[in-house]
Amino acid sequence: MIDFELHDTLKGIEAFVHQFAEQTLRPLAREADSNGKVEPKVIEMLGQIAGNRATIVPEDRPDAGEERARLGNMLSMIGSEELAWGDAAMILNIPGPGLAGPSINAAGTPEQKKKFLHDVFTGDEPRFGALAVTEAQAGSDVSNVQTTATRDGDEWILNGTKVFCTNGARADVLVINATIDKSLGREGQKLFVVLKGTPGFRVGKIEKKLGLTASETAEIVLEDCRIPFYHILGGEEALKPKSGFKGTMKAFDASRPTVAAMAIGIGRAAYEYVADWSAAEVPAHSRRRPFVEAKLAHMKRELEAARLVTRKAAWMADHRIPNSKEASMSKAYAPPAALRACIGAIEIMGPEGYSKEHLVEKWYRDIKVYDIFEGTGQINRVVISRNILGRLDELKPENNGS
Amino acid sequence: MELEPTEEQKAIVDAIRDFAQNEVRPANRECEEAGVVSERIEKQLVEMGVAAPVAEQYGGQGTFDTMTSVLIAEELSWGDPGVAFSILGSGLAATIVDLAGTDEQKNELLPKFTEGARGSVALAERDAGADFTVLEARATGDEIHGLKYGVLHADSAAVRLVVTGGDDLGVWIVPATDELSADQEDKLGLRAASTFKVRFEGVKASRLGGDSPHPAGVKLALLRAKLLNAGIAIGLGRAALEYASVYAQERTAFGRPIGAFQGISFKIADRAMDLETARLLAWKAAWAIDNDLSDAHELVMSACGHAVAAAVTTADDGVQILGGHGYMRDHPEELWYRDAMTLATFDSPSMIGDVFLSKAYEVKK
Repeated sequence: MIDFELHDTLKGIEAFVHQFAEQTLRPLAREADSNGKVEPKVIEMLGQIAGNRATIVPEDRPDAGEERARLGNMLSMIGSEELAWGDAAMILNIPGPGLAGPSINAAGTPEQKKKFLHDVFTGDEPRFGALAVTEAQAGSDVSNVQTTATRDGDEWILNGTKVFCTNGARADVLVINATIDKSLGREGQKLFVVLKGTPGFRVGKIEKKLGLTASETAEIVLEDCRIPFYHILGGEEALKPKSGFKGTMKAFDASRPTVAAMAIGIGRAAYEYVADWSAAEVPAHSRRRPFVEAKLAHMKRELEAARLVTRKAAWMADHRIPNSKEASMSKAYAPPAALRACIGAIEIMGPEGYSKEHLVEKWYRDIKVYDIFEGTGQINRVVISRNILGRLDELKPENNGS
Repeated sequence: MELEPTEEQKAIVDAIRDFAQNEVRPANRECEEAGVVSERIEKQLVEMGVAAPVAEQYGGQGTFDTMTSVLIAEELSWGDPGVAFSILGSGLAATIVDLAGTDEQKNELLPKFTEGARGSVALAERDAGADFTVLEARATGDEIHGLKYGVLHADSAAVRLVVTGGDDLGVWIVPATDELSADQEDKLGLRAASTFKVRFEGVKASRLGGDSPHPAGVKLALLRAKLLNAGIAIGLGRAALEYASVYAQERTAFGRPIGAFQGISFKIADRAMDLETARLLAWKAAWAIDNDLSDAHELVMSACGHAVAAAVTTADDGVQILGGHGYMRDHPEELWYRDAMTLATFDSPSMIGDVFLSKAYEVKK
């Protein structure tokens, strides 16, 4: 039966996370943005509250019960929206496996999951994971990656430069993709784990960005970086044809709706803020009032539409229904909708909107990257249209993926 | 959250989908040219219990919840939006009687629908298409005054209702024997639905609900009516998008199917997102109505605005993707293009929809 009511467990978590976002994240947001970083003591505190194992996408934890497994993706949507509502940049400083989590989960062997996730991230110390895929000339076209992995006996030798890596500088566990044979195109792409302190691994430039300034984005340089053979995700199996790239894409199907949920959190922050502001600052009989009301209604409608398609993608994942098209839809739809909400908020507030006295200008800067990272809006449209052309049943209401 | 329809809903959807594909779509031009749904199609939809859902105690095959009616609207409209608008709009009269009539009125009126009688609800006005809370038609005593547009079957309906505004929404029953001052509308689209402009100048009527009218029931019925339009818009959008997607794979240019070019494939992706989000909004609104939630009104307005805007844009892109062929009557895209904008005028045109929608929000105080 079609039912939009959230499971009680999720409602409880939503309330808990919202409180954390409202009381802990939001009050620190402006300072973190101005400083371009989050103080270590705040990171430690965030880690303690989040149990040092926060992840922005769900993990298949061995200790997770059946119910939890069925709600895992939805839980991630709920939590991500609330956290990003609090502050989108600070939450990237919450210790945990980050995007290394879904990659290792999707492509790793059971031993690798234990060694690189469970063993690293269950201690009391704050630990970070990161995923380094993007290169200066290879973003969505992952198959164009130039970083190489050359086998040398029981080791791999990595060479190349990665850019735009969130938490790359502080990562304890870094997942990197590299080609083992350029002539194989994307078939030659494999994922490797590099641990902190490995010789030949160094951090290059730390980026200065438009938004999400409190989140650290690093360049990663690999110069004859030697890692053990078993650090290739999937182990020996990964060397068989058609194995590596699929893992990367599977990870995207899990992470894209999460990114969409964060975008919705930012858009909702802007919507709620400007709705309150308008009620107080735009007189009922002002000539602007009808414009403001229509704008608010439009913002709210689009955010709701974005939330529904995002949660549908999560619902499909939780029911083990392939959701590549819906994951891309959420990612292509939600960030622009949230951006329009931020634009609307600034328009309504006028000069107050661009002032640093309010967070609206920050949300407008933060939101832009959500239409870029984890696959641009354009590459997601490629994924969506490829799923439709040739498979028209996809447009029917019961479309259950490919 | 759960997005799987019930087994019963799936069975209904399958039946309507077959019917839409095998009977309705092939007859779309015939119905449009005749300006009325063909007798064959109307009769079968009455027999299927879809045309005017009536409870078993009044001799019908049972009524549908809002969710099911939205699912039906999408499938039937996929066959032809004009047919869906005509048939479901006629059946709306039964739903209103069911939700707001006295027992006596139900006993008198509802059995007529099971015999295939048509219903007619005079609702839309020039300045109140999207928002039925600002209707200008009034009842003075038992006399009705007002000008209504898009009135289905004003010439042939056995059950004729008029909706009036004022302090409370009122629904009035106009005797089917009375001559009305009605002009048939010669219109852009939805031509399979025979509609009239009707001027009520002191027409005598009896109030639905009698001495104890039920405005909440009327409002509920009208919310359901609006949501049917969202369902029709979604079916139209799906039809137009599917058709254009097939064409985009078959038609080649510069040695490749035109769907391989991003100027085309991105349109398809964008419209698919519009369709998906519109459907989910409509489902959520239906769920809110069926569960008597306080934000049902707001959700219905959101769903209608989104779905109608999606239909207009999708039909436009549909014609565009077919290029010159899309402009010709050999293909149905031009029909959907006309239907979509006509539907939009009956509902929330995207240009003004949000202004009306904002009334539902009453900006947070």
